[in-house]
Amino acid sequence: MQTLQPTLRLGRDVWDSVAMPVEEFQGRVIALRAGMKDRGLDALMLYGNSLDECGYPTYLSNYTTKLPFGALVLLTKEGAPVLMFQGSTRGQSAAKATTWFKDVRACWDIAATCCEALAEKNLLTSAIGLAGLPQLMPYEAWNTLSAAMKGAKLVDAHSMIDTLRAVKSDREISRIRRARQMIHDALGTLGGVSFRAENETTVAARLMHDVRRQGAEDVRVLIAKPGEPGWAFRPVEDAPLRDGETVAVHMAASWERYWAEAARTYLITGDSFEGLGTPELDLRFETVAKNLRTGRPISDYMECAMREMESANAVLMQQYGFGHGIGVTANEWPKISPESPHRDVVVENRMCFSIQLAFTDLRNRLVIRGETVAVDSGD
Amino acid sequence: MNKLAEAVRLINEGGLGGLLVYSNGTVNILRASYLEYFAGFAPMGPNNAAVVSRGGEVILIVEPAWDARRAKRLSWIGDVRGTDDFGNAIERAIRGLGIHGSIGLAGGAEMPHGIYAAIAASGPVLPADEIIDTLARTKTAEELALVRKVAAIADVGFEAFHRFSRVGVREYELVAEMEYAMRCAGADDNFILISSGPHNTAMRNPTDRRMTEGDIVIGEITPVCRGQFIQLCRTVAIGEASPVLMAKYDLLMDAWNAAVKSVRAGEPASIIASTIDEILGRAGYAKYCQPPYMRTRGHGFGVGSVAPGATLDAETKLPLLENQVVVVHPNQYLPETGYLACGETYLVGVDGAERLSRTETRLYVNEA
Repeated sequence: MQTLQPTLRLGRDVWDSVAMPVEEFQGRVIALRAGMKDRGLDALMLYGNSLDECGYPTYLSNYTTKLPFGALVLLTKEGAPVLMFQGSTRGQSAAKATTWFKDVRACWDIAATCCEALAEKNLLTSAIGLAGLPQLMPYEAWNTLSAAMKGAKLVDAHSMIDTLRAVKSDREISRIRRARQMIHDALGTLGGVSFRAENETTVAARLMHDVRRQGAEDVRVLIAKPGEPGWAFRPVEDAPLRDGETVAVHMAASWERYWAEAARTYLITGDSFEGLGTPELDLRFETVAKNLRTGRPISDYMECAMREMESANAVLMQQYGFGHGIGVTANEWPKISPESPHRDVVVENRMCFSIQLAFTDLRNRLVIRGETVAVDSGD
Repeated sequence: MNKLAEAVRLINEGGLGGLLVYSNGTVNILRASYLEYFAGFAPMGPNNAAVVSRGGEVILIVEPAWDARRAKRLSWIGDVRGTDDFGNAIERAIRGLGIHGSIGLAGGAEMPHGIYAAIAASGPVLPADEIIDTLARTKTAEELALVRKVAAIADVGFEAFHRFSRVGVREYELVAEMEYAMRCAGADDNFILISSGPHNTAMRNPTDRRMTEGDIVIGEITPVCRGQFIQLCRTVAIGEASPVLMAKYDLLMDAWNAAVKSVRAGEPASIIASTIDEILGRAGYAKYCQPPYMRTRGHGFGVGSVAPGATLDAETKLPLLENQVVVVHPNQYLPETGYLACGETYLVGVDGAERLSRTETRLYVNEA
C-alpha cells in the first residue's frame, strides 16, 4: 500500500554478510547475465529513485537509498558492476559498508557520472537493457543520459528483473519473515493495553519505536477509521482516539532491506485498544489467502478469492486491491487487483505477497486484516 | 498574503499560460516542498500537482486516488481530484482550465520523464520554482509559530540524544529513542544522522555498534513538521573529555560564535562559511575546510523556499533576508579528534540572528 515516505530512511543500516552473503548477489548477477545473453544485451542499467522506488539497484548491490535521491547500477557482460548514488563523497564509506560492490561512486549529477562510466566501458553505442529508466529518473537527468546514449540500442528490461525479484530465496524469505515478526510484535502491543493521554501521533510513535528498537531500517504507519463515511487510510494526525471508534492500523517495516506489511483493526474502548480479530476471522482470511497457489495465474486467484470472500462475508477494498508483491521494496510486481495489468502472471513458489482484506464481523463492523505471505513456504 | 492571488499575479507578470506545482511525494532536506507549501497538504503518492490558471482557477491532483479525501480535508483548494493515471489527469486539467501557451513548472527537479512529456504535449514548459520561492519569501505569523514549535521539538530530540548516548546503547537504539521523543513532541518526521567512536569521519545512518567509554557521539538532530526542518548539531563525549577534544571543540565554538555574529539580513549568505573557514584556517585547518572533508557550513530551511540556499558555502551568492531560517554548523573533521558536530538554527533578523533552540551549545560529557 502507498505510504508517506520519510525524509530519511533513518533506521539501522547494516549488511549482514553471513545472513546475506556475496554468493547470493553473485547468483543474481549470473542470472541477469544469462538474461542479457538471451536478449543480446551488452549491459544493464538498473535505476532507482526515492525511498520507495530503489528496488532495482538495491536488489543487485544491497545498497539502499536513504534520501529521496537516485542510485544506479551498471552491470556489464563481464567485470565488476558499478554503483552510482546521489550523495556526498563523505557518504561513500558508509555506502561501501553495505554493498559487496567495489566500484562505488558518490555524485550529485548521476546522469553525468553514468555517462562517464558508460564511456569508460565503451558502452555508449551498445545494446543496453533498462530497468527503472526512464520511468523513475527526473526528466532533466534523463535528457542528459539519453542524449549521450543516442547511438545505443535501449531495451526495456523490467520484466527480466521483475520476474527474478519476485521469486525469493530462502535468505530473502527469512528477512521478510523477520520484518513480519517485528510488525506483529509491535501491533500485538496495542491490544488490551491502556493508553492514557495518547492520540494517533503518539500511538504511531510507540509502534515505530518498537520496531526501530528491533532494528527496523524503515517503518511506515497509516491509520483508517472504517466507521467513518468515505474512510481511507492516511498518515496519522494530531487527533484523538475516541471511545467506540474502530481504528485500522496498517504498518510496514523493513529488516535488512526486506519489507513486510500487516494490518489490524481495533475497537477503542475507554483508553484501550481491543483487537477486533478473532480466530474465526483469521480462518476466513486464510481461506481466501490460500487460494494464492503455485501454478495458477493471478486472475484465477482473483476469481476464486472473490467467490470465497462472498461466502466468508469478506469485502474487497476496491481502492486498495487485494495486494501486491513485496521484497526489497514494499510494493512490487505483480499487483493483485481486478484491474491489474498482471492478471496473466502465474504465481510461483516462493513469491511473496502483501495481502489485505476486509471482513464484516458479527456486529457488522468492517475489520481490516493484512498479512505478508510467502507462497507454498508454510506461511 | 493571499498565496493564490500572488501566484496569479506572478503567472501573469511572467507571461505564462498557467502554473503547475509538482511533487513526487517526497520531502527532501535539500529542497523546498513547493506543493506542500502552496496547497497546505503533504502529498503521499508518486505524482501530485496543483494546476493554476491565469485567472486563478486551481485544481489539485493527487495519487493514489484514495488519498483525495485527505487532500480535500487538508487543502484550501476546492477542486481536488484523485487519480491512478496522473499523466491523463494532468492533461485533462490543463485543457479543462483553458491553459494555453507556456506553462510554468515549480518542482520540476523531481518530475520523472514520462510526466514531463505528458505536460509538454500541452505546450512549452518553463521553470517556475521562483514563483513559489517568491511567495515563500514573506513568512506569516503561523509560519513563524511553526518554526518555533519545531525548534522546541529539536530541543526534545537533543535531550534524548544526550540521555541515551551511554555505554552499552547501540547506535540504532539511540536513534530510536531520539525519533520517539521527537514524534511524541509533535514531529511528523525526522532527519537523524549520527556516528559514535573514538574518531568519527562522517555522520551517517546508525549501525549495530554499541557505544563505549571513550566514544565521541555526534549527531544531526532534525525534526520536521509540515515540511519545516530545524536542525541542531551536537557532540557528546562518553567518559572523560580529553584536553585535546575540549580545546578543539572550543575552536569550533569560536568559529560558530563568529559566524552567528555575522548573520543579519542583507549580508551575503556566504559570510557564514567564509567566517568559519577563516577561523579554522588560521588555526591551521585550511586543508580540512575543503572537500573531501567539508564544504557545507549550513542550510536554509523552509517549506516553500530554502533560500538563501539548500547548502551554504563560501560560494553561496544570495543574501540573507529577514525571517529566513538557517542552520549555522561548523561541523568539522579535525585530524586530532575526528569529526565534531556543532550547530544551531537561527531566524535571520534585521539586527542579527535569533537563536531558536534553548538547549545550550557546548561539548557535552556523559559519565561512562
